Amino acid sequence: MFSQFKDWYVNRHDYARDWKERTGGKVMGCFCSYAPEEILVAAGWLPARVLGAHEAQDVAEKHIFGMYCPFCRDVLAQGLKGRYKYLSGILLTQSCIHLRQSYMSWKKHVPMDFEHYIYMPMKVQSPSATGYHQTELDKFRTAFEEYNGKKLTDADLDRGIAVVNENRDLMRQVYEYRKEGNLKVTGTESMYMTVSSMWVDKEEHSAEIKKVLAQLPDRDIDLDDNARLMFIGSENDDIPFIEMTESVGATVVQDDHCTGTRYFWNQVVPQEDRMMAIADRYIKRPACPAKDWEKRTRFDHILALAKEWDVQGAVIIQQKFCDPHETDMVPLRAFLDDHDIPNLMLEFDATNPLGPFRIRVEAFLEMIGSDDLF
Amino acid sequence: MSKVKQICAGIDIGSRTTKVVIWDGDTILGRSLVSTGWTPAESAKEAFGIAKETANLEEVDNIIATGYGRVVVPFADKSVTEITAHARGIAHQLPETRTLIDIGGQDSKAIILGDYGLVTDFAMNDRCAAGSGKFLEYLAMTMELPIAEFAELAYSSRNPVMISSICTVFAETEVLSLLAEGVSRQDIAVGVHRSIAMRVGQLTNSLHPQSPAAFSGGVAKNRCLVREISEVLEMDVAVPDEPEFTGALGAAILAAELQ
Repeated sequence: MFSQFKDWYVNRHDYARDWKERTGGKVMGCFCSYAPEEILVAAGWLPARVLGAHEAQDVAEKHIFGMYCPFCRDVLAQGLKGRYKYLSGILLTQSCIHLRQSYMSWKKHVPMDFEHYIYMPMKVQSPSATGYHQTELDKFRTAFEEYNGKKLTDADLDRGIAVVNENRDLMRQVYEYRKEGNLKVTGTESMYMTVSSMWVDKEEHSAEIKKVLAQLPDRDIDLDDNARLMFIGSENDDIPFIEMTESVGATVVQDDHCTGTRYFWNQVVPQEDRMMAIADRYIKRPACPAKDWEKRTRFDHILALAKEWDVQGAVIIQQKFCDPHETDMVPLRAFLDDHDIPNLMLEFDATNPLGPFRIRVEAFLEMIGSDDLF
Repeated sequence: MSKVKQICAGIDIGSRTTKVVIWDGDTILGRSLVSTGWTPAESAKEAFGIAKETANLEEVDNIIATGYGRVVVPFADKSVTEITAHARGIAHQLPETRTLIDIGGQDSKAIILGDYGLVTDFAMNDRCAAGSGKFLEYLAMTMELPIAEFAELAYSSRNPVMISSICTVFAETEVLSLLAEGVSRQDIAVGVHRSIAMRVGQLTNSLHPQSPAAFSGGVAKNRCLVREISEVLEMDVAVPDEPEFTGALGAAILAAELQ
């Protein structure tokens, strides 16, 4: 049922090259989930999140210090190795200095036809944040229109907003099938769906989700005895890890990842000023810890998700050296403890040792399921 | 009518040694310990055979495997992680235990226990040998001493020299430099033990350790390490009889309880 999403995930570069050929469109490499995809879609471009390859690499370290997070080094390595030659442009929306370093280095060593850095505010809780961000988005729009030689109309933006919003809404509908008593989707399947949505044409992706949604009510998969877990962290598309976790008696039913719910959870609420509406959506989306100041709003958001999806335990997937998430680590774990959500922290690299991680995951499952064990 | 006792076995396949305990619900009937080597399944079979011989038994009713090789024992009925197994084992050996340290060949673990050996929290060392039995073994080799002699040499000193490197290979370089500087072997040896104790202390204190504490696994027979961990944690650390069998015993008890 989810095989198309898996195929898109595995063959992402083939998909993008094919998309270019059949549409004549251009592809924008997006360095963060804060990229305003509505504007790209409005202009007929394909937004494609730049992700790592989860393999050992030896090209990034001379450009980026080894204590930057493995994800940002893996991302840069993809550019240096020529895996994204089909891109016509790259776009960074400010999130953390690690990814900014990847963008800057990419720009220097793998120049593109179009490059833009959106100075998105870090303090999204400021009353000035939406207005500021709108100004930055306007600058991007102007540069983008100049490059394209064509102005975007309100109708273009309305279409971009509608297409991206629909995709978000459909993915949320699939997440409903991960709730207690209605569990019909595994975490691995969901990961293939959400991550592939970051580079597959939204309308094509939405059409595939509609096919899945039509079949899900009649789907019968026996997952009810599994422990219900939530994954929390930054970028995570580590398929072998989630497959291993789901092979030892757990189902991942919810997440707080920038390759998961943080990417698509909220919608653009239409208003007359389209750019303001888009800016408002990104300012108000579930926050990355790099931007979640001064109140840590994400903690309550995570708790709400955990409660609504009846989560029995949380696995915190910590990218090694990811400063924003490390900042949250101690208070987040204490917060989860205080709310009786057992949690396990694992430190991830670009490649991970499944054996040692399996011991930890199994021990965690035995701990949260000890009533059944004894 | 009295209940028929079930005979159960726990098989703990560690990275260095494989241990088996055969248990009838009250008493250890037999046990064995063999080197794991490079075929854990074969080692499990060999150790199980020896344990059955010592117990004078042909068959057992239920078997639980634990340890890193737990998934490769074809004749086991179930497997549990060594964290759960050690917790259950220590709850039998030293029932008051609330904090358990288990140092194995490849990793170290801090486990917080509730009643009946239930695990309430745990932490394991990350993907390096620092704080593991391998670290100790490697540096004993550097000083050309068998591990038992290395431990006793360390125990004779109360003046641990600081070993700053947490990487095993870099720690060896550091030890070689200290030897070249003429620092005494016993001070270096106790420094190595203190280094492991500090790593284990970090691990344990990342949880909420409570007294009484205990130390299981074969490395717990090293009285210098017990002393150093006790000093770092600022709490008494008890060692059960035959700590190398705690995991296998726990697995055997669980095998009996889970029937």
